[in-house]
Amino acid sequence: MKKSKFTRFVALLLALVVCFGVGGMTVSADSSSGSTGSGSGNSVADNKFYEDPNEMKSYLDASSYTVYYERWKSKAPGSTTAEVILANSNADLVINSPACQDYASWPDMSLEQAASSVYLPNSGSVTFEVEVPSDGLYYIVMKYYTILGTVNGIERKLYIDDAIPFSEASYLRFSKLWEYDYPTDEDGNPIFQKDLNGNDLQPNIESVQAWRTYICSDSTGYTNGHFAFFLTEGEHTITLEASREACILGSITLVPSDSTDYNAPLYDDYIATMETKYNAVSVPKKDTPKIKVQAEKPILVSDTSVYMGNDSTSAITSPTSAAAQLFNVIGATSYDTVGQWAAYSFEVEKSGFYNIDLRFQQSSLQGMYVCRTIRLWSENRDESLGVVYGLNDGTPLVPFESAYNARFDYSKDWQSKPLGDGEDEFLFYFDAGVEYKIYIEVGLGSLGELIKRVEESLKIINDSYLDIIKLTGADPDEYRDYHFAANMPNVIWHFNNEAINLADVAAKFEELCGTTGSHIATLKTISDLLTKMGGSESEIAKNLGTLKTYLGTLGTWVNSSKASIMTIDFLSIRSPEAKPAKANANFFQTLGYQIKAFFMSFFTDYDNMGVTDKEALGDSALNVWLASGRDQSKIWRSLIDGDYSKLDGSGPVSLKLVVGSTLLPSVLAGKGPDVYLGLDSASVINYAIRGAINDISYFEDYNEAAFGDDGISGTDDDVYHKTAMNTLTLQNKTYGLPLTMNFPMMFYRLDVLAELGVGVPTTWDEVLALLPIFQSNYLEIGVNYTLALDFFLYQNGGSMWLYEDDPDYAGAQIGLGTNEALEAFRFCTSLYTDYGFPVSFDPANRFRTGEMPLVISDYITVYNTLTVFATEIKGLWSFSSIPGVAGDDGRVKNYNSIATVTATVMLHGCKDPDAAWNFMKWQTSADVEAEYGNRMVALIGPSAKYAAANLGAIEKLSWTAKENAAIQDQLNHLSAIVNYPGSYIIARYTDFVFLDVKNEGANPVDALTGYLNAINDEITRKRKEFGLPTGIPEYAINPGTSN
Amino acid sequence: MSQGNESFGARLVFCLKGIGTKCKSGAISLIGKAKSLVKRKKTGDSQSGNNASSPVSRTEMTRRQWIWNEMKKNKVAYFMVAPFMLLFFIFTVLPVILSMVLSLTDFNMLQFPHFVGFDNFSRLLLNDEIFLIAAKNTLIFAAITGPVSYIMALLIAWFINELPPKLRAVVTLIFYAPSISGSVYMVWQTFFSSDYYGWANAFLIEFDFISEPILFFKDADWVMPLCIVVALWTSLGTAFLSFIAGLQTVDRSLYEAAAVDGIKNRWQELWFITLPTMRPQLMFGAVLSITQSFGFGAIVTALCGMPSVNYAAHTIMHHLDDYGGQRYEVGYASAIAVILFIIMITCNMVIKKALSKVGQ
Repeated sequence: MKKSKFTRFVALLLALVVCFGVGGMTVSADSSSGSTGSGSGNSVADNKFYEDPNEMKSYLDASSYTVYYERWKSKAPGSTTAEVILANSNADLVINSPACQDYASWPDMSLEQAASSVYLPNSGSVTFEVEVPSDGLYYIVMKYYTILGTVNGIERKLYIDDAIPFSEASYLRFSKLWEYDYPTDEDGNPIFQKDLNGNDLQPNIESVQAWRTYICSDSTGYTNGHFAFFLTEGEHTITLEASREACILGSITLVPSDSTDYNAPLYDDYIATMETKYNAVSVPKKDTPKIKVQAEKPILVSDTSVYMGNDSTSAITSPTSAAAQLFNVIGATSYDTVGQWAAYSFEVEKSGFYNIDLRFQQSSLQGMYVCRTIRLWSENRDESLGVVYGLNDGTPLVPFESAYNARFDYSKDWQSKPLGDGEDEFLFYFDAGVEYKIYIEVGLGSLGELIKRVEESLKIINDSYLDIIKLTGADPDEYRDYHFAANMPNVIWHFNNEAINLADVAAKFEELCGTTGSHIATLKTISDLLTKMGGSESEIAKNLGTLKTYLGTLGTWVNSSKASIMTIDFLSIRSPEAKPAKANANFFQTLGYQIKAFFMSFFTDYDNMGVTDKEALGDSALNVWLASGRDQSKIWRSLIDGDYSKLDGSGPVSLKLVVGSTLLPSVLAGKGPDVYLGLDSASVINYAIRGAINDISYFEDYNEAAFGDDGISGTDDDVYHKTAMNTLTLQNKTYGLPLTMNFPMMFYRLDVLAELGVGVPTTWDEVLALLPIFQSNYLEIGVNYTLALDFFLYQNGGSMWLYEDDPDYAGAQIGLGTNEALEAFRFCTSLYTDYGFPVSFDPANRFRTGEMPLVISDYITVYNTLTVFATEIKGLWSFSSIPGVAGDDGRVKNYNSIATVTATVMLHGCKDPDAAWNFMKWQTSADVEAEYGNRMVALIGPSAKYAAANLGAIEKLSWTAKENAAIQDQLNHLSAIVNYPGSYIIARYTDFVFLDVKNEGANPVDALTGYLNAINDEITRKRKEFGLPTGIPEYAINPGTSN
Repeated sequence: MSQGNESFGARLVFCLKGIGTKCKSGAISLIGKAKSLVKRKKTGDSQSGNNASSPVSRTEMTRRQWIWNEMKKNKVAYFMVAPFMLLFFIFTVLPVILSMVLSLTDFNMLQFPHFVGFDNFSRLLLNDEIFLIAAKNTLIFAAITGPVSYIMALLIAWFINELPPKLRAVVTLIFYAPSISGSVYMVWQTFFSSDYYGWANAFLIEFDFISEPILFFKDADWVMPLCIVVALWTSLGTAFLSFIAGLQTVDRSLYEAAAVDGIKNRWQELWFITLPTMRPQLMFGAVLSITQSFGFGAIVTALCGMPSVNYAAHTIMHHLDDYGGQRYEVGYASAIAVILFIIMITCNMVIKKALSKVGQ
């Protein structure tokens, strides 16, 4: 762009206007409803899977372990150990398995082991036979080997004789092992890499391949210890069904439940044993230095999401810096889920009893405490040489019973206290010169049982609520007598029962915690309400609304109680006679630290956090902008440094985190970036048509980059979905590579559908057939109407635009006037007018309570919300492709969903288009997108699923096999609407028409056709502005002439 | 999206408001102060004896020289207003002028603008049905919310002024709260939610007035009245505070004098004493009400979306946002802004005339 002085001056003036006058204007798209995208719609779907209502029911009906154990606890432990013969199964031996061809190169995997172990793939189930020697209670002990895979943990469902023995057996979780790759200083001590500003950078994390032992136990943390299974003498089958991840199984052993190998002694017995066996005494204070182990440097962790963090609230958190962000703690929300652990190693100089102090902060659960399970492992494996902790293969075990229950009380401040369960401060015996590993695992300890009772209460109350709603509707008449006592005596009985139960739990909590915090008070409030409702029939209808709110509160209560958040600074192993380390800084330390931090904040370069390469700050660096969060930007930074910089021909990259609205003004002022990540497709077209974005289709390798090796769109090896590419294409020129793609899918409540005895609908006819059942139970189906208008159009074989195959005339005429479109519109509006679909609703909340068991909405958004927001219905919901239009045979024919796309674009005025193109290709490639998505999950947790647009990346993200199948199914039936110039008008006018039909009862077809001219006029006007052909192409008016 | 739209309109209107209010209140008062300062200085000079030069007569020089002379003489005053005038010019006057210039072009935010003469204006005034709807709605809004909120503010301020000081502070806060607490009008959204859990809907369904929820903010019949109510609720803003302040500055002795002179009742007292005394505050409040009622838009966008159903509550502000923010036609949007600017200036003049009649 050549600029004369005058234009420069004008540009400056305009920039001023923009900066001061029009400043924060977002790049607001021509809103989202233009048209097109080729639906790949017409193939008959055979891979849609149904959920059989009976299957759902049996799965949901499994009772809990508490019930199971109550029933069988009087039985004697089994007599002898029984080994399951793995070879007698439908699983592949490792040596024969195609997935394990390179087993010889795996650490700790001998040929012998490979010949006796089986490979368990990440889907399907494997059944083993076992001969049980005698009736009795057994532990099921498995040796497994972790292999490389995704960031997910290994999860299996356990069936004994083809039935799930109790509900917890559906969630067996085998820990994976992860190791941080710390750089070392001259002395070989682990350190953190630093960026140019002295901030610590997170080290890479690698999966460790190793053998471990898993003793079937409760992954939810409600029950401490191991599961005891009651088995009768004779033949039985054990089936492991994969939920997540593949692994290798070395052995399954049935161990009598009184085995001393796996049962921890009581604390007093442990002390007594140590005293008699090793003459253990407390090490003296003198000459015993405190051993300080920094918590931010674990040697092993259970999940990639257990990572170190920075604390700047206390002046004495070590190490500390007022200027830079140093890693000095571990914990907070990255280490709060039951089953997550971090391991540390240490050695002591003298044999004897020690206390282990933690400097920690637990300020999240007011008036309550959080629990950790302490497991130990010793390097010494010979009892005669000294104490032995853990199993020979490296699996740690609790040294004594109360180590399940290490307790950390609430305080606003930091605390420094020895590990203990509230009664005893634990003493641990260690031998001199032996390496020990301590595993600190998040558990629920003594709280588990109480929280479980609350959760069960919640479920019962929720069911009762749904029962009431089925009778009265969500908004009952206060003054009507519903005869609750006669119609549903159960409900009243439940209310009274649960009121007593909750009050009892609250009392127990008070007793355990010694105080009444706001957290416990919640239970009492709900208990009071239940007493009131259970006590008088007339109170039920009156208080139903309140009850609903309280159900939400109780759900949140369970979530927050289970999330045992605490932050650990360091561990200190010391003589029981010595004092714990100081917990809090004194006044002067704090003052000095705060003053220093205040002044240093003026010198901190927040723009370039994480930059390690000086060149990235220079002018020659490729300028990349990204409008999202700090975590996202950190991950991209580390991916660029770790991966992109190693590519051939890659230059330095400067990555800036910006607010989305800055792009337009900066482009206008000529100060824009070279590459921008995550511009929505409507804006892409808007910018492109005005010359602000570069066409990328002229690059030599564009076809390969966009359409796979064959360079042809619409084939199996497409890199991106064809419709996603379409949304970024205008007149045969493409203006970006798709970055994310989100589309609606159907979420359903298994439990509610199972109770009604209905399957998951696959066609709209089936949905309509369901409606009477739903409505008689006051249940609803949640679909947003703007969404529905779009996907019905495509499912019905219509399209938003006419002449889409003609690059010149695509987008010139609206396709809403076709018969298919009008029929689709009529049907869609009838759902809201005749069938009573709600127009306005809060899907997450109603899905949670079960009032809205079917919700159709963007899959990533809903999935992430439910994962983090509705944990109490975990396992009770699932998602599949949306219902579709049925063909003549009554089976679903077209179930297209509508994708929304954001893209990575190259802006006009980019200094080095080739470098920018290289970066774009790298950044949207399958491996990088998958790595980014997985790191997001690793960093933030399972609620940070990423909607990658790269088709190869989606398969590598951490979806379960079943979830992935559903997503792939919908991907095969996807359309997208291109936002051609002027398309903002479509959403606006269709919205008007819809509301006219809904509010005023207008005829949908008449109302829609009435607006067609207005829409076409606006589109024509807009196209004229850009000199695009308008109206109807010649060949369409006069079909005789060829084009 | 709405954020962007809002800010575009908001900024432009802010500029316009700036011309309207700052120019009138801020700048004038500052210039006034400066002038009085200079006057004092002058008198000082004259007192110390006209030592330097005898006063120059206007007739002895050209007009330009005279102005230059005066400016040199008053340079201290100019120096003192300079910081304000500079910022005011750059951030308020310049954008307005630029927006006037842009209204004659086809500027689209990203490409260099071309001059198109009065095309934008002719299209706007002759060929834009929606602008007519917007203009109609704006006038309805302005005609209802402007005067009503103004009179309401005045009356409430007058009543509150009668309360004992401590109670007065509390009541003032209660009335003023809605306008300071930002987007608190969103409670109306909860109240009139389209969901059947919305308060109004739940209430109406409970007493069987309706059988399915009314889509309050998505129904052309409801949108306008509801928005007017919300607008009135939030309108007790700065004007109201300035009235309270104004009422307290009225000299008590005037009332006594008036009583002696034969004032018969409180109404007469209000009309002949109170209001004339607080005329500056009245002016200030009026200007605010006018700009507020013409610049009304953000609340509608927040409650009804943008655009509101069937353009039922589409105001000129929305029209401006629509073209500037969604359609990227900044030239056209600027033309709308200029029209809005002219309307506001005209209204301000009319108000000024009307207020000069107070107390007569």
